[in-house]
Amino acid sequence: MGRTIPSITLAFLEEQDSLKRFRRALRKADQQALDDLLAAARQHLAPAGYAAYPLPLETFLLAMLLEEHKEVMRLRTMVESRDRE
Amino acid sequence: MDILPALAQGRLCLAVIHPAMGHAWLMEPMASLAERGPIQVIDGGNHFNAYRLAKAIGGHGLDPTPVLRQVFVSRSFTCHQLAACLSLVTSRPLPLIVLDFLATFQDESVPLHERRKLFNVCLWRLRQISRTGPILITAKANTEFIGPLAENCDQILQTELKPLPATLPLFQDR
Repeated sequence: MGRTIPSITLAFLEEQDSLKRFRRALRKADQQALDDLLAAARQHLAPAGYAAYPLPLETFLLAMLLEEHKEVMRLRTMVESRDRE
Repeated sequence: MDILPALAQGRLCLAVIHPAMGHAWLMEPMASLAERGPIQVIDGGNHFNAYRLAKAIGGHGLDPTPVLRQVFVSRSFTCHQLAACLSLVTSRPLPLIVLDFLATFQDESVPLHERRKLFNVCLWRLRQISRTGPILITAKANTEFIGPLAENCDQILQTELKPLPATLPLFQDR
């Protein structure tokens, strides 16, 4: 019937809501960047829910880093392939 | 609101909450209690949020996981389950927090006489448990049974809705 912990989506929305004032104070371009980071974290809600860490923000931050690292790896591969040409 | 000084063995402490107010304010004192030792929580209105509690514990500079292990939560969704939860509470001198005690008694699918009977059973049990450890009960104001509950409690705390913080102006007027 009930849940031991709230769903990870609810936890994510709560964390997102707590960043509202911070987001509002950012420049438009930075707001866009923050939205992209949050969208990146949202892609990993299922693993974050499975992990069920007591502080979900840490998992969301790690998910953001993960997506950033994937992007770095993609760009690195691209640069390396161009260097070879 | 600092509720910790109000908690004492042999006393029933009631926190009457504004209906529009959640239980987020309770996480800080609950974290302080859990840091000292095990606590029991009976959740009558599905208000217990482990994430918020973990955040409050983390705010004290502690690792939330071992402290959360000291919090024993039981949830009840009907007044019968609430009575059963209370009957199963161990008579150890542990603090007991009953969240939204009256929520399950608002269920109109249970006949009024039965709800009243169960309410009295729960009150009697709470009184019995309070002999071994401190008890905090939270209940929303303007709900059925709040009067009899308040009459049976030794201390009543009122929580108030805090006004929203004023928005800071972007530019100072000169």
